[in-house]
Amino acid sequence: MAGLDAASCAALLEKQRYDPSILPQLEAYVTAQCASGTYDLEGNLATLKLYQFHPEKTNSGIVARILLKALMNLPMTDYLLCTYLISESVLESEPISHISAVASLLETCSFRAVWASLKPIEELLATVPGFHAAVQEFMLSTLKITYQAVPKLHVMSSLGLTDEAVLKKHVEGKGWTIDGDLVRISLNDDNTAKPKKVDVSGTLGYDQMTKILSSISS
Amino acid sequence: MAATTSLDEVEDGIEVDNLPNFRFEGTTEFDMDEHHHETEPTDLVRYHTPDVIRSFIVYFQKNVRDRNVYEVHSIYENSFNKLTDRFYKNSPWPPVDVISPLVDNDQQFLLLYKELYYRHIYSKLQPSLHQRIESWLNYCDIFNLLLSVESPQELELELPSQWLWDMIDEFIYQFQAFCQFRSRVKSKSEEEISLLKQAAQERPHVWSVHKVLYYLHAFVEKSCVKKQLRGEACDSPFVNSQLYLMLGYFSMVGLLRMHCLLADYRLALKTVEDIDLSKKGIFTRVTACHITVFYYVGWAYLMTRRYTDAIKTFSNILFYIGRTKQYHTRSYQYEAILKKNEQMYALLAIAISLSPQLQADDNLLASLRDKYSERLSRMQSNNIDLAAFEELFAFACPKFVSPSPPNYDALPPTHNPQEAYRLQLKHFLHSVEQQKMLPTIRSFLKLYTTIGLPKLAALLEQDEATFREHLQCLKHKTHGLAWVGGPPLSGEWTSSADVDFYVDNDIAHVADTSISRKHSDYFVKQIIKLEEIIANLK
Repeated sequence: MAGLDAASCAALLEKQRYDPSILPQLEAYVTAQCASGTYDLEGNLATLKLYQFHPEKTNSGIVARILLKALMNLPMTDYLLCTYLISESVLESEPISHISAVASLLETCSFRAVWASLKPIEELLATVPGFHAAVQEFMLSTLKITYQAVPKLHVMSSLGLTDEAVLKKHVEGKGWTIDGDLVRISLNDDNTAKPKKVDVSGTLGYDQMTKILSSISS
Repeated sequence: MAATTSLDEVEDGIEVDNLPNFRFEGTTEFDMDEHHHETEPTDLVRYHTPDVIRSFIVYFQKNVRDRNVYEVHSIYENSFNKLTDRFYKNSPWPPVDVISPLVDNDQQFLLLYKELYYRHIYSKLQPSLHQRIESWLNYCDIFNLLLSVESPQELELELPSQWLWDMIDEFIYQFQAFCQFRSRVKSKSEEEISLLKQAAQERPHVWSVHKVLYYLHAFVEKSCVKKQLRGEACDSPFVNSQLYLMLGYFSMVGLLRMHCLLADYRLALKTVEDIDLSKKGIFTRVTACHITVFYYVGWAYLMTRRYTDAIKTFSNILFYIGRTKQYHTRSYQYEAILKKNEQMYALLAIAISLSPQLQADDNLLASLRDKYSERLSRMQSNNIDLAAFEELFAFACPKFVSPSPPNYDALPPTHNPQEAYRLQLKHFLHSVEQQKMLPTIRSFLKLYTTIGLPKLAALLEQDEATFREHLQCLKHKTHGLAWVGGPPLSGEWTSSADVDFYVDNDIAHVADTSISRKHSDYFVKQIIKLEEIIANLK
């Protein structure tokens, strides 16, 4: 049987979303997503839902992969959505408890500490190629909305880099520049806070006038 | 649709005849008093049924059979409840065997009667396991009948929308009640547990999550409601049936609720992708449905961390309830409406605390402060108080369910009947905790237009790099999807920050935000208030 893709998975879910007999297909699909660098949140949530309905069928290796894939899609809230469906006992088991720790650091943007927290799950990460790059991409996007210029050192320790040449590659890839000790980030809507004037005033409307006309006339 | 749809537009669409208490002009309501003084019945042998009830049942069945929807609606919403108050406040309605000879054994009517019979037991009494199972079987009979026909004409049935809504709503309520019932293992005797086990073995489908979802999906499917909402053609004999359209629509809303109870918030929002909340849709036909749609969509937004959307959704429906409350006072669902109203104010308080807004409606904010001022200040203080969030969460959250039955034979020592609730609460508080530094950072940034990071970090007694991470976190948490019309799941990536800033090396630049208030509004309100006072004095 051919593996699932986004379209065939959607079609399958349309018909048999709650049928546990599709779990092997969905699980294979999760593994395939990891290997091929594709992503289908819909299919993965459906997998977690079947585990929720049939806890005895839970495969924590698959759950771990789903969570890692969800983290790779930060800053979207996919990871949060997945965790709501996972029972406490599974969340607290290894290696998933380590993934939760990584997720907390990423969510609070405590980027410098992320890299050490990945140590206990290195083996698992090997099955999800592109994880490091995806996490770095999320970090860069957060820097992009926060800074116009940021110390090089801060960027390097955030991204977990020791080699300046690698930093240069990242910076150039984004169209940013290195200026002495600083990384200059190109201007965008989010790193150029403009004075805002929220105007909720306006002229007195007709409907308002009619309410008080009687008191004016008397 | 590109522009953000204004909430007012929705509100303006309310028509008074859509409200429950305004429908009965001209119905010849069943006259309870006329029958009341009749002589006592003689057949006290088996079961005593007051004469007024006997005539009521006959009258009820006749109107259902004649498909007199208007009259049935009045019976359903008024007479039935009034008679309940008078005769069956603490006991069930007459069993179906007693009723059956009165209505010529009209099977269709008896199924509907049983629906009311069990629903009444659930609301006024404590249903036994046996009754829970019987009620389930009755729902299956009704639903199978509705799903088995090839065309709507076969059934010759029409029911008021209110009843159809209540049926689906009650069906899910009883499912949720059963899930809670079976998981409260400790308070049960061994006999009860063995009965439960036996029931689970002999009738594994009873109140199973699969079967409940199956029925809801089946109605959505059969009615073609999704295609109809999209304006697509659908080749089905059920397209023109009001009964099936409403059942399909209400089942769709039922699925929204089910997915929220199961904590699948994305699927919940996807389920209602064909409902445009910015327009006056079918949901306005039944107030309880209207409130349910907004409560669960708002809830799903809140848990997905789309706080701005949650605030908009709750504000929208709270406006609506506030404006129409006076029409609901006689409705048998008035209490339920008030409860949901309070719950949604609580959720609004949570959402506003997690995502302070520049533009929030003054009236809503004022009511919010009336109701929850103490908790608001605990949630919004720089030292955020998780207990305040937990209290409001507990008060206002849906009744989550664990979809799989507990393993009675090998119950883990950690078994907690509240597990589903606790899991959601834990994740929610975790999200709140990730934001715990943000109120402090916000309050500092608001004091300046430019400020050096070393100085700010020193004020917080933190090193500069850690402080930078807090600033990044503030940016990250205030960026997200915001709905701009169309399917509820869709949105555009924007900032919802009330304080906008950027950092240039080690200087934070804070955008000056000024709000010019509408003074005319204020004066108009004061004039009207004064007028009222003067009128009262006179």
